[in-house]
Amino acid sequence: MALKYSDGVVLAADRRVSINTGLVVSRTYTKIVPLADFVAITVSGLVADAQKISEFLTARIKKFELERRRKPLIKEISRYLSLVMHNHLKSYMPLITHIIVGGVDVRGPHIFFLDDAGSVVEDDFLSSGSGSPIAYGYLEAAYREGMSEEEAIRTAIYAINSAIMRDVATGDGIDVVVISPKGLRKLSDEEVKKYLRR
Amino acid sequence: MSRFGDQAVGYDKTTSMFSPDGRIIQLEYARVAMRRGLLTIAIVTKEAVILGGLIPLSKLLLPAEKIYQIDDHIAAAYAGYTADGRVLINKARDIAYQNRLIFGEEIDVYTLAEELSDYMQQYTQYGGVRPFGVGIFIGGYDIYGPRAVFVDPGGTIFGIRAYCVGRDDEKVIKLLKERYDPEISYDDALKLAVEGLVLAMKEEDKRKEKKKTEYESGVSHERVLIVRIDKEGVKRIPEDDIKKIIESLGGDSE
Repeated sequence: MALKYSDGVVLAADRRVSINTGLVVSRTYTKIVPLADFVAITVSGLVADAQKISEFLTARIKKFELERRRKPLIKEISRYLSLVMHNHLKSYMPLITHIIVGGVDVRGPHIFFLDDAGSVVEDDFLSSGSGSPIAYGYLEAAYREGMSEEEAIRTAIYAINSAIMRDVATGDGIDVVVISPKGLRKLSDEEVKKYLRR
Repeated sequence: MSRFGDQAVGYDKTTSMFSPDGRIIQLEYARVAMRRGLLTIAIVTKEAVILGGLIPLSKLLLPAEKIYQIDDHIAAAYAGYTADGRVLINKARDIAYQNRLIFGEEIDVYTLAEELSDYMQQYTQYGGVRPFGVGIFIGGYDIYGPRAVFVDPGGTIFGIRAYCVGRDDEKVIKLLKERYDPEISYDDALKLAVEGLVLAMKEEDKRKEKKKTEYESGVSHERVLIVRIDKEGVKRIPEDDIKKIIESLGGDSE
């Protein structure tokens, strides 16, 4: 899941990867992938597709920066990825993944949700994956505009924690990435634990 | 080796061959074609880009367009062989639209110029084609603010502050060099652009006395087209405003 705060975005995710037979494939998988120092994505769905998308997007952003001598807007990254996903779907080879793109550009913080059909939705807070209905339940009540960084991190961690408590396919720890105009920062396990204890 | 010498051995016959002194002679001819065109001028100020040019006026023909809108925030104008220029305008519009399709955003002025110049460069490296006989100005307002670029027939890109190309451009460039200053106000820049175009019309008049053509001569605001491109988009400068500036310069505008 991801949410916007006053001047940045917070992305958070659990670490469990499972298949629908009920088997947990990994308990340490990082579902937040930084693409550059101003943008990251969260992934859910088919791991293979998500990995390929993050590798290819990282390279594409580098190329964009070289060609245009500026960083891409978060909107530009999202729209580009949506075109790729849509083209895949229409050639009967869909990339089976739901992605949240979050980051900060010259226009401020932005988060976009993308699905495998190629739709792009911008919002103040977003969630995807099996635990998303539970996370949304918390976010709808807790989210408000213009939160501080600390409040936003706490909200994100509580939302993921609710899903961990009640969704079978969510669990095994929390990753948190904060992107502010100053750059991208991944929270340590100790920091995350501190928020949970409060 | 003189250019005459090169011609004698055929190095000017194709763009896909260098002359022994490392030039592509066909491209130099293309630049000559470009400079035969009516004067086209661009000036960048802090708030807007000014893009202007002269059009031929005839009793029998409708006035030409000269300045073309490429996207909401970009316009282009060219000097040289009109038919070639039109093809480039269509290409530029296509490039701008592709960017909207792919990234959902307006294209940067410089990116548009680069992609257009990639296209123009192709015509200097392959056999059986001739280069475009035009130089094209692209002016726009993007994420960086007001910017203008000039692309020559060979596909070389020049980011510009103030520049002009076309008949009598040497004299107008001299004027721009004397009067342009990066801090120039928009009003002064507009005046400078009009002055440059008036200068070109006067020079042309001197020659016309010897040789009559179907086109009307004399300094006239009807022959001047100017647009302003700022964060609101592309806007034509009204004829009356241009007329007033020409009058204030002491020239008579019929």
